[in-house]
Amino acid sequence: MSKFVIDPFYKLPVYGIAQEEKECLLNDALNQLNNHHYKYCQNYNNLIDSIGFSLTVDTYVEQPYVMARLFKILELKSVVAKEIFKQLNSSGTSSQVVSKIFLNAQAAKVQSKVLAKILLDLFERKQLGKQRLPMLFIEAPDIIKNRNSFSARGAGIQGLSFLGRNHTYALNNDMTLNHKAIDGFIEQFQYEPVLIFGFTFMIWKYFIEVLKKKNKNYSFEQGLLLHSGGWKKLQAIAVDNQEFKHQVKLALGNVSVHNFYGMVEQTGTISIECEAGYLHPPVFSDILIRDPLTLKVKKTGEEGLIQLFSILPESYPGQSLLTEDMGQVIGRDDCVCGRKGQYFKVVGRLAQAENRGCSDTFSE
Amino acid sequence: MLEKIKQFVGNLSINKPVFPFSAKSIQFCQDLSKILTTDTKLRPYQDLVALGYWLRPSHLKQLQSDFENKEAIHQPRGLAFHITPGNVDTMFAYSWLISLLAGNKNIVRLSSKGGEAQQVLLSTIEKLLNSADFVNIRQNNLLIMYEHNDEISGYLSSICDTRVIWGGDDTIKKIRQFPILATSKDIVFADRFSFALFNSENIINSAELPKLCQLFYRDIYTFGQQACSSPRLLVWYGSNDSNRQAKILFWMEFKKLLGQSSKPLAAAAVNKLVHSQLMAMMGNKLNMKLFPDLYRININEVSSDLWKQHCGEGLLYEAEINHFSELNKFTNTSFQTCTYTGFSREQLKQEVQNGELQHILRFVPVGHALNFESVWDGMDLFSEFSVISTFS
Repeated sequence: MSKFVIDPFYKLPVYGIAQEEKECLLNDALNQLNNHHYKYCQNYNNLIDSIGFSLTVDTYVEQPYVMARLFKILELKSVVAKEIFKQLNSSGTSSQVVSKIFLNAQAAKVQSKVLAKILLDLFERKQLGKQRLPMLFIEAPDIIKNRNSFSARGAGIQGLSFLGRNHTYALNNDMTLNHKAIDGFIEQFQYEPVLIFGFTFMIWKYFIEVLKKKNKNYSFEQGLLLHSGGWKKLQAIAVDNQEFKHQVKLALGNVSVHNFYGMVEQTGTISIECEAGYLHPPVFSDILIRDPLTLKVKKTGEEGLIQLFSILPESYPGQSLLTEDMGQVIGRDDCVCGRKGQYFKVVGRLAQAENRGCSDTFSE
Repeated sequence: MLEKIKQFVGNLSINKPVFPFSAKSIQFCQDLSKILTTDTKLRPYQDLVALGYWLRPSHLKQLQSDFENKEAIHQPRGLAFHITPGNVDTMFAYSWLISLLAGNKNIVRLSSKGGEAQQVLLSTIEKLLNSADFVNIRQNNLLIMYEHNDEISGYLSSICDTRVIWGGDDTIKKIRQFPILATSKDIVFADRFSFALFNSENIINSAELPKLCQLFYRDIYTFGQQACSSPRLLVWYGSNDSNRQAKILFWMEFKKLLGQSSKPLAAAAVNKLVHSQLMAMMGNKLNMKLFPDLYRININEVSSDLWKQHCGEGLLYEAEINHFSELNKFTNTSFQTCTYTGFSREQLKQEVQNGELQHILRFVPVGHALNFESVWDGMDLFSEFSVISTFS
């Protein structure tokens, strides 16, 4: 695209646009992306023609969507091979099949830029200042070793790292605590704002629980912990968001904890948990909830499949994805945290029907 | 686990020899049949009842007389190692019991993905095996469940006389990495796909459409449409005009059955949606008719890759043909069962002999798709599980 769909959005406040206006702006941008991908992605073109979707529509509800799982089966891209700058892969914990997302240089740049804008807004709200913060990753340094093919975790870390300085990895490559690194970090930065980042379950299992067992804790004076990843594994051991936050504070001191929701198929446009515990899509993205059986759009408060819009994807047709995550819209424009627009909750994954096809005798 | 297996194998040579259709093996099958067909607690498990019916005394007698009337003398091959599938809960039992009746000793690896019916069947079998009557059978037959383990699979492959691999293709490839004895053999069941063939003219004039719909419903929805013999494609045969008419009449009637039975699973609906979009993206022109528990997708041809992606659970490709020769746009060497209505057996036989309807291993009337038979995937299993002695 000669002129980028996203360009006018950089100037907008991240959470300052009321839902009605946001829908108009996004719908228009999505229409442009639909037409773009129709032209440059044969698979997407086939889908639209075959299913009978319209490319230019008036509302969210009519927006064509791609099943997110298809990124695990097909290589969906709207750029030619020589333009591909980076490939992102989902971490694929439970299955070996991973999503493959193809980025050209421009798309990669846009993702970083948007992520930075969203996070800087949060830093401002937390009065952490505008300069780069010392950063502690609850990860092992190996995670970003291969620079050509990133896992979602690696990509998340890479995307965030340019917002910080003094990048420190809290874990060794065998996932044990790197005491020397952590002690060094705390010694240097205990009394200034710090950013801590990791994946929910990893933070719990390899950091919080280990510190607890060793009877060790730190007291940061002003920290921000960002974490993402599902709650499924933690629910299994009866740890909820509240308990998680509580334990983080016991272990690390005055640290405010924010979960965020995002997927590798739409890297950049993450929805961050607000002070009231709800997820807020930034101005670049939004959600819609659909009934998994009828595909009809659900009302506020009703659970269903999460459809995610993002106006970032220009190198692959990921602007409107129907995920297999279940969620519910909580409200619009009226969250107590003051952010405008819709806000929502993720309930979990749609319980997967077991595939007991012929070819599974040994894939267990 | 490996130790336990080795101990079992070590004892096999000191056990008394076994023979085809031994009195004990017949009695075991009959006792099992009786429990499966009469225990009211097992009623909800239709596939267990079906297994019980298959093992009924008159059918066992039929199998025995077929076996004994074979011209050459059939003797047991020895030890059979079965790797059984998880998609059909009773499949391990058919595989095992045919081999048992043919006089073999057996080690059966069960899928840990099996459903409730498998559990129930297993505990029923276990109870029987533990009775004093069947000591001999217990000594010569071992049912095991183990996670993917190269050491165990390798060991069992190296000592068995027959290795039975219920696919799919990936499992076959994987298991074939483990060598078997030069005198041993593999019986493999690859990924297979099945379809239904309806004579449109016949549908239009049928007075028994509701009955036909019920039978077809059973063919599709048993085992979540994931068995090799579950129809995944429905081919309408006739003139364009009669195909069009028959479809309208049939689906009007069939629709009445939808939504009545168990609630369609959200996950199944999403799987079907993913598959439909995948088909569309790969360039198939779709004409979809969607109900939560049935997706009908009109197609003009099917690439062989798509069959493997077919998720079952109520997803039906549909096509129309005027001549049998058009069928090869859909079928391939991986095809198994043709479930038919409106044709005579002789007519279909004739077509096969004329070189049409190639690659199809099994023709059954609608409603019988899931019935297991001892000739399966083109193999007479009683012969496969035997060595044959000839005399001249």
